Amino acid sequence: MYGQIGFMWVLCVMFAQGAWAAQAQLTRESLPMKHALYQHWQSEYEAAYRVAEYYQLRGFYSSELRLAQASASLELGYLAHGRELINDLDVGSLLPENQSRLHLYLARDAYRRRDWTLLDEHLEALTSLTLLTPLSFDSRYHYFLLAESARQHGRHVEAEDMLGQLEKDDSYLFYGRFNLATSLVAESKVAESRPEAKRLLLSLIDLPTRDLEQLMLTERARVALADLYLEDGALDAARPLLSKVSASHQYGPPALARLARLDMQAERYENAAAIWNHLLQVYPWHRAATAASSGLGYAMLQSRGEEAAYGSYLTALTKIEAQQARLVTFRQQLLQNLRDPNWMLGRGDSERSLLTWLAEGLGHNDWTTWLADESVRQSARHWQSLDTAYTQLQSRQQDLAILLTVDAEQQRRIKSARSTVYKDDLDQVTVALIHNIEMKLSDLRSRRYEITSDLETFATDEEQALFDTLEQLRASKLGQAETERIDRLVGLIRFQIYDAIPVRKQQQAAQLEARLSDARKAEQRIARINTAALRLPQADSVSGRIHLLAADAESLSRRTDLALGLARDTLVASMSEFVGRDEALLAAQANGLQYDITRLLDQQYVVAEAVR
Amino acid sequence: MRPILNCLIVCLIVMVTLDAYGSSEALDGNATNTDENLEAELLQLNARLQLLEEDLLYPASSRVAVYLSMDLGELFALDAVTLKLNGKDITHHLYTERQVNALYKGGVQKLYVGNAKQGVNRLTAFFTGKGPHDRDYKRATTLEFEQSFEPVFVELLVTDNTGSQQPEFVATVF
Repeated sequence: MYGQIGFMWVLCVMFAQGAWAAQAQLTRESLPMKHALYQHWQSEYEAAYRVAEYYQLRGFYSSELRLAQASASLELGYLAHGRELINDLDVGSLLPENQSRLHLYLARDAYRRRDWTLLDEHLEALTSLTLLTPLSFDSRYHYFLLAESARQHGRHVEAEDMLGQLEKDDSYLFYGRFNLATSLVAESKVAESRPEAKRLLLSLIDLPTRDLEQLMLTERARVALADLYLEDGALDAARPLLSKVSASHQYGPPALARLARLDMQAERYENAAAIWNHLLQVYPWHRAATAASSGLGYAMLQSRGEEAAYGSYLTALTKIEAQQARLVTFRQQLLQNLRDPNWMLGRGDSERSLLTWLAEGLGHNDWTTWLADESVRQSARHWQSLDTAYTQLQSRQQDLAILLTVDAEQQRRIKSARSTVYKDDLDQVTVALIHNIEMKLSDLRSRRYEITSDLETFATDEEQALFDTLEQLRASKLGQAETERIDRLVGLIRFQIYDAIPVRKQQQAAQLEARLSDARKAEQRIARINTAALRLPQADSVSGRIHLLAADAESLSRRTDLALGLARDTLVASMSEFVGRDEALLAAQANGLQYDITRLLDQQYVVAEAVR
Repeated sequence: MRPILNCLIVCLIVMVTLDAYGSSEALDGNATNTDENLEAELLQLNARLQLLEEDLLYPASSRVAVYLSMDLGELFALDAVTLKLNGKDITHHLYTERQVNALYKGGVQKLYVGNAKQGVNRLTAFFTGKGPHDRDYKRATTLEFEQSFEPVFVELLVTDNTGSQQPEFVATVF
């Protein structure tokens, strides 16, 4: 019980308080923990575990992060794995708050395993680390564990004192008192703690309940107290207790059976018959109704005579035989169905719930006790988890195949780009080009231009064409007047160009800068290609990692499948054993009834003989 | 998935609750440990896969990861965040109550991981929610960051300015 609820509370509080939740500037060091916390706070424990693992793979490690991973693991029910993680922790490096909470968890774990020595060790460590404050969860749980430890060592008064620190509606008080009373009841057979046990059970009954869990404990306490009174022969004290137990709840049928027995003892056979009859009608195959058939027959015998009793016995026997036959068929169907994973996992066309099917097949809801068995709980939980894991692993294989394709494509592109670069010596060409442009730019900015010699440098294409045409004309042996005219024209164009030099200088510089920028981008691209190519061996190792992951996934998938089969076999064996108990019980009931019938017939025979 | 088994599990939980102290919790450890280890191994495998996926799709030289955190956050109830990188929408996240609570308690959300070009990049985050006096509130914050050959980590922080009684939205590279 505490294995689940108590533990979760502990962890919630572990995260809720202390420095883990403290706000501070985000740093790369604090990021992993806070990221894991984000998932933890949402109860996304798988994600929290994965985040912690992810950052550890990235090389971040801290004890707190490890603790977060352990906590997530434990929340997921991976108790052994969580324990391993905790064992690897350097407890001393944890914050004091987390140290104390870790001891609280370990104490809880020791309690769960009934390792009382270890429990005491952790409780001691806890006491030296923390001061108990009445209302925090940590303290409540701590008080409970202290009480349990004291109870285990027979220090009942101390145990009660510890429980006395708890609020009246605290579930731990209910459990603590019940456990204490149970211990006293066990001792009461040989010692004088019977009045103490009664007092505790009475105090438990008087507590106000706020939920079903607490109500069930008070009901159980009523039945336990009634049993003590019955053992003492205080029938009148037991009756009101049993009458108050709700018939529709878990402890209703046992209470009814006890009431029927009380009526039999008091020779109120009509009342007893009515109760037995009610039990047989409402809970025909409930464990508590095992004695109902015989009881009803006997009550009928006493209240209505042999004929009625005989009829009652025969009816019950017929019913039991019919149930035995049904159970044989049910067992066959059950075993057949349980071996079919699709049936159990609801993948088939069966619309009906397994639980309804079980209830109808067995004729009662006692299978809930089967479900409550720890090994069944674990098997079913693991079966579900393993099935989910198996499904996930199948999709992981597909993810890995996609990653392999992506990796192959990236490598192909890098190799192709690098081959292009080297085939045309693009890297050297680009370097030369950049050098050339830089020289030109430098020249452009620093040089003083002469009107006579450098003007063509700034001529536009049209002006250059005009120069060429005029030179051609000059070469065609024109007259002096035409030659002078050409000279004037050339001079005019030169002056135009000279005037435009500043503007044209700027334009040329802008053009050169644009070309330089393009060339540098090309250079960067080539550098990136080179870097990527240099990483090719690493890229190959990415492929290696993918292949390794794929192999791991496949191996895990295979092992998961096997484990799934084992979990199913465990459930099959367990359910089969459970049905076997039903069969044995029915056989015993049938034998009992046959004995009753034989005895009745014998009596009739003896009486008849006597009369004759 | 699997309605029947789910139903079974729900009943198990109910039974765990009903089952009073004293149920046999001692279990044979081997099968259970194996199953637990298998499940833990799966989680580890998923983490390795995530790492590999990131290394492959978002190389360190271009990787940018954006995280969201809250400090106090009493003046702003977060509804949604939209992220733009260099003018392009890259992600939009609508928050559930649980997520917002996780942020309030000090958790940090990984909002985005992707690639950014070499050089200067412009990241803009738009926050939508309820501001002071329960009024609709929408604010943006912008950050320019240089992507070199190392991964860039950006924090978006929602905080309270107690002086102005207004929420503040800060983006920083860390």
